[in-house]
Amino acid sequence: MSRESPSRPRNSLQHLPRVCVWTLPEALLIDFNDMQTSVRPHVPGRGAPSLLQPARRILALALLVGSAAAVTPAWGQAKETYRLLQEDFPFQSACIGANFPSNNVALKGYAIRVGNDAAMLFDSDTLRMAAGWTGGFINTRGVVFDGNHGQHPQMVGDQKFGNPNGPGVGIPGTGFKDTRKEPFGPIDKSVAHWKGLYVDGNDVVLSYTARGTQVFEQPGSVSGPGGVAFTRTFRLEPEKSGFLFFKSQKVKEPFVVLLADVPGASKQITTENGQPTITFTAGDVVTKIAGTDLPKGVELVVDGSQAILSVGAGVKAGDFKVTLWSGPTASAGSFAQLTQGAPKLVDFLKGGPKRWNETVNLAGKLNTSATPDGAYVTDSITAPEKNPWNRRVRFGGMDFFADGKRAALCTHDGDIWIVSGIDEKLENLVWSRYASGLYEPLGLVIVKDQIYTSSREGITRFVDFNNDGEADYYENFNNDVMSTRGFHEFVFDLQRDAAGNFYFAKANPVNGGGRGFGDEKASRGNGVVCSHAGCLFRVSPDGQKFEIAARGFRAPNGIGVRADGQVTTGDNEGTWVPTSPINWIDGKSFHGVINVKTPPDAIELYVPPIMWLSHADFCNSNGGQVWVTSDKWGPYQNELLYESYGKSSLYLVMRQDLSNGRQQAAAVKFPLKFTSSVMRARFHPYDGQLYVAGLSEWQSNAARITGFDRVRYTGKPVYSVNSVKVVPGGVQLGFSQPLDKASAEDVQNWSGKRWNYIRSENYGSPEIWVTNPDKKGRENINITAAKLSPDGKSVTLTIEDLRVTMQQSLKWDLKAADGTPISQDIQQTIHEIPGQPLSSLK
Amino acid sequence: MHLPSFFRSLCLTLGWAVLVPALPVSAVEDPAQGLVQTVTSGGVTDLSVSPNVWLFVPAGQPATPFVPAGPFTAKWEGLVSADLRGDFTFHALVRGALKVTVNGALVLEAKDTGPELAIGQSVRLNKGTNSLLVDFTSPPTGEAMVRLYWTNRETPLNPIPLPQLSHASSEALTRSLLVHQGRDLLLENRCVMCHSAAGSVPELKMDAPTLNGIGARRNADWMARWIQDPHALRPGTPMPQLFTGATAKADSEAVAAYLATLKGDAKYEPTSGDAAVGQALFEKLHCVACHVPPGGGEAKPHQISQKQVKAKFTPGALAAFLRRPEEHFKWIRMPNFKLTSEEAANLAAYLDSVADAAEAKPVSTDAAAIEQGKKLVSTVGCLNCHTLEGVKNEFTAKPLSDLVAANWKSGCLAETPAAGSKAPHYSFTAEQRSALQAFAASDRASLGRSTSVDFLARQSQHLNCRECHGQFEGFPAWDHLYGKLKPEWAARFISGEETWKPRPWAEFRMPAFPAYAQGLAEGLATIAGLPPVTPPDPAPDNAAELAEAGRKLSSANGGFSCVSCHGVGEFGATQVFEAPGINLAHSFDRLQPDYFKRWLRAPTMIDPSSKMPVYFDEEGKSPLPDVLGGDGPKTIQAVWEYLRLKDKMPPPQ
Repeated sequence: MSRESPSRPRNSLQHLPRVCVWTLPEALLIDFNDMQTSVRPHVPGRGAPSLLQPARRILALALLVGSAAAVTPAWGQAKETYRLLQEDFPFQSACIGANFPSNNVALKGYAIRVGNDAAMLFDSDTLRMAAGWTGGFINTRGVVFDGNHGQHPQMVGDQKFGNPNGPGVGIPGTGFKDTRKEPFGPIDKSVAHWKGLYVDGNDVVLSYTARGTQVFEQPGSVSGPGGVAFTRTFRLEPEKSGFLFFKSQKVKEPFVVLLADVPGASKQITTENGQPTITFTAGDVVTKIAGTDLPKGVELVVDGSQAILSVGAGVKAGDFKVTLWSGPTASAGSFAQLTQGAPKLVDFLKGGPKRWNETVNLAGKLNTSATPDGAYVTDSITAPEKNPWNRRVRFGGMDFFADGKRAALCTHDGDIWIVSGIDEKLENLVWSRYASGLYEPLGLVIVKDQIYTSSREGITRFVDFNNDGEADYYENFNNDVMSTRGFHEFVFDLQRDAAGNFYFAKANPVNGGGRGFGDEKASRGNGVVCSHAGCLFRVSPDGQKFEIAARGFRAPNGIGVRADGQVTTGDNEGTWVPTSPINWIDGKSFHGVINVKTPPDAIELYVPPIMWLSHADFCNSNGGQVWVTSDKWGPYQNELLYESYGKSSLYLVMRQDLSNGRQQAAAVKFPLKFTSSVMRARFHPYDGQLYVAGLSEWQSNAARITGFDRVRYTGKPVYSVNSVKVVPGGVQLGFSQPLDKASAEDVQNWSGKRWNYIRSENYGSPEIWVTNPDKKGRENINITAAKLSPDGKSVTLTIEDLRVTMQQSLKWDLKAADGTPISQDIQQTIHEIPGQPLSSLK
Repeated sequence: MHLPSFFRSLCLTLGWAVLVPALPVSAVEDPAQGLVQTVTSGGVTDLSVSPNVWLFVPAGQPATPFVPAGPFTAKWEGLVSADLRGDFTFHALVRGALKVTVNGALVLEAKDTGPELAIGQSVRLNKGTNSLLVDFTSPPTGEAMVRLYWTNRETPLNPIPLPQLSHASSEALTRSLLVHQGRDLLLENRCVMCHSAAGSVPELKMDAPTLNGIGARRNADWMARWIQDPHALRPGTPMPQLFTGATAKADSEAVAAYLATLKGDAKYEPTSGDAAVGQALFEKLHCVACHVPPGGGEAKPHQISQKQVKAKFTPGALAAFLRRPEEHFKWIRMPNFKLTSEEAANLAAYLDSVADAAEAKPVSTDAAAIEQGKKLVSTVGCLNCHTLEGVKNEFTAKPLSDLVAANWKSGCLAETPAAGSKAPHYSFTAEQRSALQAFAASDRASLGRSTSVDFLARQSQHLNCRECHGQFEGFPAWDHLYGKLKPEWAARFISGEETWKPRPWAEFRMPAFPAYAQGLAEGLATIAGLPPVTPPDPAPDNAAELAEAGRKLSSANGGFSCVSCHGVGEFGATQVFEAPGINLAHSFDRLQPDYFKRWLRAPTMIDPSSKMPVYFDEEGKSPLPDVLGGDGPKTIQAVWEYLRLKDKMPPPQ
């Protein structure tokens, strides 16, 4: 039994910044809900046919539009309109602090609502039940909640028990020794390892192994005259062993579970009502812990200040319960009542009831922008920015299901949404919710119709047992990535290669204000540097092997993975990153950002990116990259595209091979407009078009808070530069259409500038002259001749004093042979001028 | 004079002469930048270099100090460069009549536009340079004003960026600039303190360090050496050398002995500070913009070496000076950094720890010497510049008007002090002397006239404004300040009266220049064609509605999310990171509306290094069609109306 009091906690809203439930006028709300009940549950794998009549769809849209007006707050009203925490969802994952013992922070914390307005905090790295409290949940401090930089959520309420940082499961006799080299990441897997979390209605079941034994644990609460007690209901499922009829399920390796740490108290172990009971007494405060239905070999023991559950070898599979209570001495007598009732776990494998019955039905919009040649247009897949749950929607990852009609998108705010109706016209977009409570997911990939996300916790795989369109099991696929308190330790993107390996990246924690990476003090609460800070990771297809694939990044908000496993990353201007780079990952090189954990020999392996993009005009903040895998998307198959988060722009990357096997590149923009930033892009498995999702959270010129767009090739001829090669004494540019000779060969129609950056510990870099580093800004280059090739599709520019340079821009205003204007500008990096020795430019 | 000192003096003086280029008084950074501005009024013509086609002349005032007030014509000539051939349109706001000619073709004619921009015809500019000629005729009375803008397909309406304007030099321009330079030297060296002249130029009333209580603040030994040869100790100082010949040393020491007796009421207690902390502060405050710390190598022409601070200041006096540099010298160039006493003590500890050791030679206490010193102070002209209570100044010199140009070669302007000459010696370079002579040969009426542009051009150079602004990270570049700030706010800020810090995150701090603040603030407006007093900017009828739209536009919820980086009054920015923005509750008081509108439209057009995103598309449309239909100008106006609420701005949402 987990809940004696099934009613919602009466104060469940008090910790929200304000009452911020769906603020539609009540009449509209009822109508809206009524309408939604006519929608058949949307089941992944079966598509989501809408039963809405067209007229009703229009109504739905009208209501949503109406809601936009309705939620515009009046002057002077409190600021928050989003529901940052959900009182009707059982957990929120984040880095979460408890009040005691000192510095008790669950770095990969799950704050779990256990009923009776009580909550428990579990850390999936250490398998430690860090705290339990009554009278509240958590506050909304933190980058994805109230936007705070440098803080994370903290418990709100009256804490009843706590356990110090460190493992929550241990080996008898050795205590809860932390054998990790750094106090981050999962503890020794042979001792205990996180497997995942089941959600069933308001209940949560935690799953982990303890020295080889499968443990399921359901946190709960009971309420009685003496107040609220916490329950931890365990189910042990040891592996079967033995032969034939002698097979049995018995614990092989004994283990201990930390229940509570009560320093400075007197303690006694007694039997009350036939139940072993530990009593800690410190002044007027009594903490009592009792075991119910403990099987033979399971005991409650006290070691120093710690109450411990000891599970011996040979213990048989079964369920039992531990009840924890803390309160004034006067109420201690009522404790026995709270321990009544047999241990009972929810049937977590059947799949819980559907919780998000409504959908958000929207129509997309075609042709929201077009390139001047009309070859590419954008279509908007309208996002459920307004939704019945008032959840903030900021897309951080996206992929398609096998049917191609549906996509899953995760939000930085912790949700997974599924949209169906992705077709040519986008008229019937149906958005439904799939999962929630995640720790800042910013990457999503779908493998065999199963959703995987990357988040601060690692890679999570989702299972929907009963096909009701909602995840029932949030499975830990790999949680080896370390996570400190640092708000800036974003985990970015999730991509796969053809062999099935997963890739994602992690940012460095920054010091207060954004520059440098240092110790806890220097970072002013922004975290400490762990050895995973600023790395790219590869995880094997089965999730078992986790390795650092590359080092030296600052905030690589987006990577690109080619089928053959070739990885690229972006990075964000800041310490050691003078401006946005496109890094080419070769498995050997170091990519430039040095922190205190950077191996000294790695620094020597620095190679510059294949190109830089200037902060001022091309990219001030990176998104991902994507390879053009489609033959239906115009003339760019097998080329690399670069996404700029900050400029909400998409670029074609034009690469040139160098004599040392490396590359240099140039970029040209697709002049399109996007709903929000350009951050996560994928090609659709069937229509072959590019889909782009993004959010607006840090500096960006993004119009909306989130967006999901399609970049569609219309089949019209493309008028654009499509290759850039540095040649001796100049640059050769290839074009997709023949050019007008007079226009192309008139140097008045061409111009260029060049400049360098300073790669240093400073934040970003000024632009400085190539020929005179003391001068700030960009220097003009002198283009003395422009020569068109006989086929009219290539122009060779002669550039006076052509130099190796971190950044060169070229700009032109030309006509194609058929008179179509071509006005573009590119930026490029020149590492090598063919015929000249390779630069050592860094 | 003993030999090493002589050599040092010689070397430094020669070094100064060689190192220091002519300092044409100009508001442009690069001498080739800007346009030649020719102003003619009352039959007098003046040539100067103007950063852009900008002009503001208040009613009844002269267009430049070198022409009389009254109706005038102005002409700007030079080259405008484009980095690619392209079609541009010039726009103008003008009071008066304006003609813009590009590559020989008339492209814009405008007269008394009022607030509506006059729009010219599209003109194709070549890649590289194009000739630009702008003719202006002032209205017969009242203020005259010109502000020229341009735009093309990819450039939203802005003034032509300053680096894209240039001019060729000419003999006439050089001649004119030489007169300007002469006037500047005359003012800076306080010639009129002895050779009196009437006029309205603020610097005519410029003071020098008071001698009251000087003995408590300066070491006598240092004073003796300073008086004997100020240029040896500090090249370029306006303090002249007063004593030459055989008695120079004795006279200097006598004056120093007398000054050392002037203890005043102030008591200077030796301070003790942390030199390492002081050094960090020295770096943070960018003191190096104007100073070379002891051991920091050769001083550049605009820098003052600090190796003598220990010899110069009495114990405790340095820290007191650092806290209030202007206490005994109102027009001192050293600004007030509002240091705490602890900071001042730390800085002083640092400087003392690295400065040359003080030469602790005892000063004469001989009563006769002191009496001799006192006599010299009252007779050689010290008190023409320096104030000293209770001592009568017995030195007189001819008024400036009596000094005929032909004689501006001897006396104060002699190359080397003539034997037996009583004239102070200034160590002017040959070029400086020719500039002063050129000024002498002019009608000199410019001393009677002053403009804020003239003041800005001169004092921004003397005060080394560009040594910080444009050099160090986080400072707005100097040129970006032209036309940016409302003069009332700028005056408060530059004077140090404004207690709110626009950039509280910065380790550096804007120091106060109280004597200069008003002139600089007005000049930063008028140089860009804006009035020295902000004109009324009445709220439109629908201001409340627009302000509410502006509030939404500033929010993260369907707006530009300005609030990510900018606080609004008490409401903190939500995502401040590395590039915090200035609190918006002060923007209306700070910013010129013209600047604000251009800034919001395309910040990187004004400052390419700005972290502020460009939100509007090439056509100037807002990406937020839900607000005001995405109309660009209305969207910008809405944010302005929101800013107008200042400290009453409700939090963005």
